Parts: sequence; C-alpha cells; structure tokens
Amino acid sequence: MRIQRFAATVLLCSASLGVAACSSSGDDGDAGGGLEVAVAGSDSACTPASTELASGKTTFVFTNSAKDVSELYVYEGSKVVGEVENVLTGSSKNLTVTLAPGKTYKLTCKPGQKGDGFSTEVTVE
Amino acid sequence: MFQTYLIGLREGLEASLVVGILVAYLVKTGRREHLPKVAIGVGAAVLLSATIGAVLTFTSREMSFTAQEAFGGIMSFIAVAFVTWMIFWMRSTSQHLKGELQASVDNALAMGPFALVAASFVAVAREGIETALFVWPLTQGSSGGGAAKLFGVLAGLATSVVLGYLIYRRAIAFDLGKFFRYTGIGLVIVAAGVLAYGVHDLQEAGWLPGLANTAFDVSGTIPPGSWYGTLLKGIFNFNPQPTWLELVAWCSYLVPVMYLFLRPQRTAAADPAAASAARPPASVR
Repeated sequence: MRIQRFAATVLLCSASLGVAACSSSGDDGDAGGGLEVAVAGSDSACTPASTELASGKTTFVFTNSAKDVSELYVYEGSKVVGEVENVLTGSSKNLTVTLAPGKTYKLTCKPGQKGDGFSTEVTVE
Repeated sequence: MFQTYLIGLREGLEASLVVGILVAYLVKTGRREHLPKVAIGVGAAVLLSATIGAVLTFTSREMSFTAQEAFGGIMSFIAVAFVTWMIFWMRSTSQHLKGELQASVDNALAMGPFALVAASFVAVAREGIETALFVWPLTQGSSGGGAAKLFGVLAGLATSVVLGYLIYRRAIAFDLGKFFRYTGIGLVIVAAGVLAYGVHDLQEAGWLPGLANTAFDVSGTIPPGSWYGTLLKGIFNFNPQPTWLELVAWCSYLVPVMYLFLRPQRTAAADPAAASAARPPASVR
C-alpha cells in the first residue's frame, strides 16, 4: 500500500512539475517579445550580429551553418543563463534570455557538441 | 536526416532498454498479466510529453531555462530511484526463485503493479519532453527538408524501440540466474549515468555548483555527434565532458550499488534480518 501511494505521488508530482514548468514560461517565455539578435554559428566561429546589446529580454536567433549539430550557450561568468541544443545543420532556433545592464555575457557555439566550442563576448549597456 | 536519426536514437535508447528489461522480467517470471501496466505507464508518458511539447511549440512559448533543467534533473533523480528499486526488487525475487515456491514470487510482485506503471512512466517521460520539443517544430517545416528530418528522428526512435526489443529477446533467452545478473549489472550502470546526467542538469540550472570544473574532456575522441558517441550517450548517458561533481556522483552511486547487487545472495538468505531487509515487499504488504 505504502509503495502504491508513493508511486501515485511520484506520478502526480512529475505531472504537476511538467505543468508548473509550462506555466512558469510566462516569466521569460514568449519568444516574440524583446529584441532579436542573430547569431551565426559556423565550423569555426560564433558571431552575433552585434557585441553591444541592450538590456532586457533578448531573443538570440541562432543559425547553424556548421556541418555538425550545434548548440548555443549564453554564459554569465561560469553560470549558464540559457542553452539551445540539437540545432541541425542549416536550421535556426531561438533562445530567449533576460540580459542585465552593465554585465558581460559569453555566447558559445558548440558545433559537433564537443570541446570548448567558439565564444564571443557581448556587453550589455 | 542522419543528424535527426541519431538524435532520435539517442533520446529513445535508454527508455527502450529499461522498458525492455521490465517486460522481459514480467514475461520471465510468468507475470504477463502485468504487461498492460507497463503499457499504461509508457502510454501516459508519451501522451504527456507530446502534449506539453505541442503546447509549448504551437503557442510559441518557451520553458524557462532553469525550469527545463530543473525538470530534467528532478526527473532523472526520480528515474534513478525507480531503476534502483527495480534492480533490488528483481534481485530479491531471484532469491525466492532459487528454492521457494511460486507463492513467494507472488508476494514479491504484490507491491509491484502500481510501481510498474510509475517506473515505465518515468523511464519514458524523462527524455520525452525534450524529444517532443525537438519533434514538433519539425512538423512545421516550411520546405521539403522538414519532412526528411521528421522521418529521420522517427526512424531513430523506431530503431531504439527495435534495439529494446532485441535486448528483450536476448534477455529472455538467458536462464533466470544469468538474466537477473546481467540485466541488474546493466541497470546499475544505466542508473549511475542517469544520476550523473541529473547532476549536470541541476548544475546548469544553478542549483548545484561546479559547472565550470570539468574533470576531463574526451569529446574530441568520442564526439556526441558520432554513432558510437550516440550509443554511449543513449545507453549509459556517457558525457565526454563531465564535471567533477558528475564524476563523483557517478562513482559514489556505481560502486556501492554494484557491490550490494553483486554480494553473495547466500549471506542475505542465511541472516533473517538481512533477508527481510532485502525483501521489502513482505513488510510493505
């Protein structure tokens, strides 16, 4: 009985976790909002359209032109602020993050999901 | 298309493996009537993942990064708990099977049914949402390339199911002793990998420290995009760039659990206290 109740609780918890994760998307979800910044990822570089960005909600439109599947990370120091995985060759994915004024972030593209990837620093006014 | 094929394969492998072993276990112990419970768990997980994925894709909402990683991390820990439970549940049953009556097996299974639903649910749901978030946008593809990519990922998922089935076929061909031993050892390694994966997710969510402290990096030799990298990642959650904390978590799960699993069964059976501890179903009921 105890095990059954435990299992039922786990099921309920994970279901509600899923719902909670969805509903919390209101905070920094809504991919349409904020500024859009294109980021081009090739086999050897990670190039944002601009390295000086405005603060607030920002959507990085990451386009992968490398021959392998790629990923885009946004780091603040060693902390990951956002990440998109499984970006196929020739396709784009959006990554929306909130940038704080006066900070420096690092955009890292990882073609082939290996090594340190290629990084470019961006500053926020 | 090959890129999406490997992604589908990677996301589906571990769930197929765990579910395949669960099914083999039920068939092997003559408990086919519990198979629908596994089907319910798998079905519910697929449905939930597909729904959440569709809602997020078609409403153009995004899960916040922290929520996504925290969800992945917590689901991983729950999955580790269930797989560990499975391992020792199967171990205690194999003990019964050695000399006792079928009735003892019934005892061991009495607590199982609902936990079976939950175990198969968690095994599939863990990677399910991530997969759904990858698959749904492909259905929106404007050009013809979208269809090929979609076909690729579905073929990858189908391949993982076929591999799960082959493992099931191979597993039921073993005699009971070998079956419990091999599947148990395999599941301990799988669970250790899932734990490490969960730690990494929580590090990315910022809930655990040390994301920048990489223990080693063999991603140049074993790239995740290669077929062998995909298999290692898909089955054992092998990360070619683990952090120290991931590595510590992996070892501190693998070593004691493998020891407890492999320790001679006779000791447990001879000592009544240890025997009842290794047989939670009896006390739970």
